Amino acid sequence: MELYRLGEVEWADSQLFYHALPRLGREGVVLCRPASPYLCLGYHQDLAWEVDREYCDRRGLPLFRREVGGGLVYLDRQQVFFQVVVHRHRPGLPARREEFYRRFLEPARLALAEFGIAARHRPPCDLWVGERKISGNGAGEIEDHYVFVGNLLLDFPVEEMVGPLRASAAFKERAAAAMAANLTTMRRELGFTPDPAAVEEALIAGFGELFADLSPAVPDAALLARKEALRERLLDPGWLAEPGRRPAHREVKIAEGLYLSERRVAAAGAEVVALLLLREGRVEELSFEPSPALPGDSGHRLARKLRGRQVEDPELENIWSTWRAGYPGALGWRQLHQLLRGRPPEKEAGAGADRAVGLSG
Amino acid sequence: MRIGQWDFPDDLAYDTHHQWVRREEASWTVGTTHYSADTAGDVLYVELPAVGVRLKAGEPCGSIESGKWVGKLYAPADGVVTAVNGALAEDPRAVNREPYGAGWLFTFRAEGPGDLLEAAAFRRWLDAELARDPLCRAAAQG
Repeated sequence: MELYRLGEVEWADSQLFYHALPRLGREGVVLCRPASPYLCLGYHQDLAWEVDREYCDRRGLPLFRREVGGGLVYLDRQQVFFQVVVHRHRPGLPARREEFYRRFLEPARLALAEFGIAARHRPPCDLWVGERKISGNGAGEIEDHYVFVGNLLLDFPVEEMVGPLRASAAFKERAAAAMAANLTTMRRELGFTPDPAAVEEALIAGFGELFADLSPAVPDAALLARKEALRERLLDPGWLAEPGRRPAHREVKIAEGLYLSERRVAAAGAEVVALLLLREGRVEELSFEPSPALPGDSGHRLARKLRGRQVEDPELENIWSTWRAGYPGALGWRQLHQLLRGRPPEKEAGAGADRAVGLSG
Repeated sequence: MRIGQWDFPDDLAYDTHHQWVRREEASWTVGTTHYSADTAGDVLYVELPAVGVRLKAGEPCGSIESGKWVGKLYAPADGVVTAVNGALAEDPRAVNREPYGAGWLFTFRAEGPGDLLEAAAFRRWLDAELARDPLCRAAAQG
């Protein structure tokens, strides 16, 4: 297993080497960090849906679409990347995805331990310190190889991450707050920013535990040539603009099990916009924009009643019914169901609920 | 046929990318196996080949995302795509729930034999594959 310790590299190179290795039929571990910041989209994400291009253009922030999974990330030199390329038939490779992730996160966990930071694997694919995420990750298949990519956050500017999102100001503000509360960095844990070279050394020790045959290498002519050939294709505007997944509502994953969503629904001749932070399917935070469908302080009252509840809790309909009795004509059950669960209720349940109070939702 | 906790209908053929193929004359339907759907996690998105696209046996023809993983879909044989499961755009988790039913991926008109394994041969291949992973080996032994 070849180890490419590249240090600080040109921003696109921090993605191109691991895309080139499998195309040469070669395994490898790549450690690097980008010399300048950029945004990186997951394989199936839709650029126009996810990103405010004008914001990026104003800031001179370049974009890259990787061929592995995960979501949009802001990447910069305060992150040490580890990228693993293994043949899909390599002996000992876990078949079960969660175990695969755990195996390839272990070197990063060990590296953090070297600095006295006790991280643990949070399935399926995060490293957490306490209740905060400290490593971003993605994975996938390129040619006959499996690729696992991740980073250790030395520091992380949440404002830079949310700035380019194609979302409302309220959503960005809430996303920044949720990230600040639920992400951590080595700087935050240690009280200082560690030397990236020392972090790389710790990662090398960790990957040495995983791959007994790990040996230092420098990119050879074939690898450099393939990397440059890929540059043209992976930086092509057409590749970046490839249409992809457009979720039914704006959503950002803060960490495993923690999602911030902006959901919209038409109700009582108006639009209701809800900002919803869900942790493991439970309403952690909920707020509504002012709407004629939520008169007076009814939105605040409803949000307060719903906080702490599982969105699939059957009791929600009764909570809504009690609330609605005080606000005839306000948000119906069908719309609230759509806002919380992201889908309309079964026909019988929705119709019955609205009939029960003699109102159409 | 059942291997551990996973079902593999005997009337289907399989490939080494954990895909199944239902062959009805030259019209072949493709999906992912119960094993693949179970071990990959919840499917979030499926990118299918367009109708009319020419497939080359063994070459990638689409992709599937589950969790943070993006895997490829492969053409089981040469041919031309005749239909895709458009319902997966709204409900990709049908692949997890009903991998041999509502979670089918695409149908194509086959123009060659492809490189497929019948159920018994697939069982031998999968046994060897699972032997690489102690956790899955334990699950397969039920």
